[in-house]
Amino acid sequence: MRDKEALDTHLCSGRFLAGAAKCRWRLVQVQWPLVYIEVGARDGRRFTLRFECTGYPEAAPSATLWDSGSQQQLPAALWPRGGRVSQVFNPGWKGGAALYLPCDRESIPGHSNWLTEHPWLIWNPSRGLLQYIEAVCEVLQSHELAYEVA
Amino acid sequence: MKVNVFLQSELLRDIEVVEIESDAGHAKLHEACLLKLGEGRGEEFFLFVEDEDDERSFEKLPHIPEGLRVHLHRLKGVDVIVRYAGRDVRRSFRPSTTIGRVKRWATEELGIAPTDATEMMLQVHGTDNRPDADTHIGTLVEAPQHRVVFDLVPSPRVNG
Repeated sequence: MRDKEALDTHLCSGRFLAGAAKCRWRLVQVQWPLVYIEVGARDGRRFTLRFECTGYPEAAPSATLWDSGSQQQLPAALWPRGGRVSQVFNPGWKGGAALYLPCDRESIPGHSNWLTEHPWLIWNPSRGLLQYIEAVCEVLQSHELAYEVA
Repeated sequence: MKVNVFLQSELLRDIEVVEIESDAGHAKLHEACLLKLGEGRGEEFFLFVEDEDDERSFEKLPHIPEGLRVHLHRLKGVDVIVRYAGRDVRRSFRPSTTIGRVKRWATEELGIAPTDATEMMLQVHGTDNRPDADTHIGTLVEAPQHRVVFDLVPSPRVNG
């Protein structure tokens, strides 16, 4: 359970708690190895990410958007979209099982170019889940996000 | 009533949580924050409120609010240079200034529209480090160093 202990440490870190206090994100629940985190978008919508964290933190997590009500992947019609937002939140990529980010375990294979193109987004175990969450929050603040009623 | 204060510093790798009574006052808060740096710190450290330029902003607080964000640093000011498209802008900020505020200032100075500014990030010059918007610039500058240089770069487009 060293991987869960590492996750717990990151979820109790000052950086995670500070972001939660500012309502940038919120821990919904941990059902190891699944972790549910809610994040806020520019238009006021809140999205729940379901992270699969087996092998954490050496192995990167993988995340999808989750509908907590129906306990399944969020329907594609409800995914955030627009410009670079649609590049990351692409329900057509891996059937929506992963976000198209260099810090997502399922998206890394076959993208050696990301090492040089997006070094800041390459999974870093010492930054942990916050790296992924902060990257998602940055994307969701984009002006290219197509606004929907929150 | 106890409240949580979020502390950043040039000598801390991450944000620390300081638990303190809301009526403890500035001096006790300063003392509690210093303890987070470890024992034997003989130098003078100044305590600043996040994104406040007024050194005495603590005096305006009737009590310590829940979630207050502060910064401990040996410097009172950090010289910031932001480079973009062959130009640069510069000014001094308190160490408790967030990356988000520096970016807003820099993009305004550079005449970049707010809509375009949201598609840009600050990257520490010579590194691939793009600090989160809530990071205090003081965490990037350890005294006696007093300057930090950023490049204003496009936000990533992960499309290939």
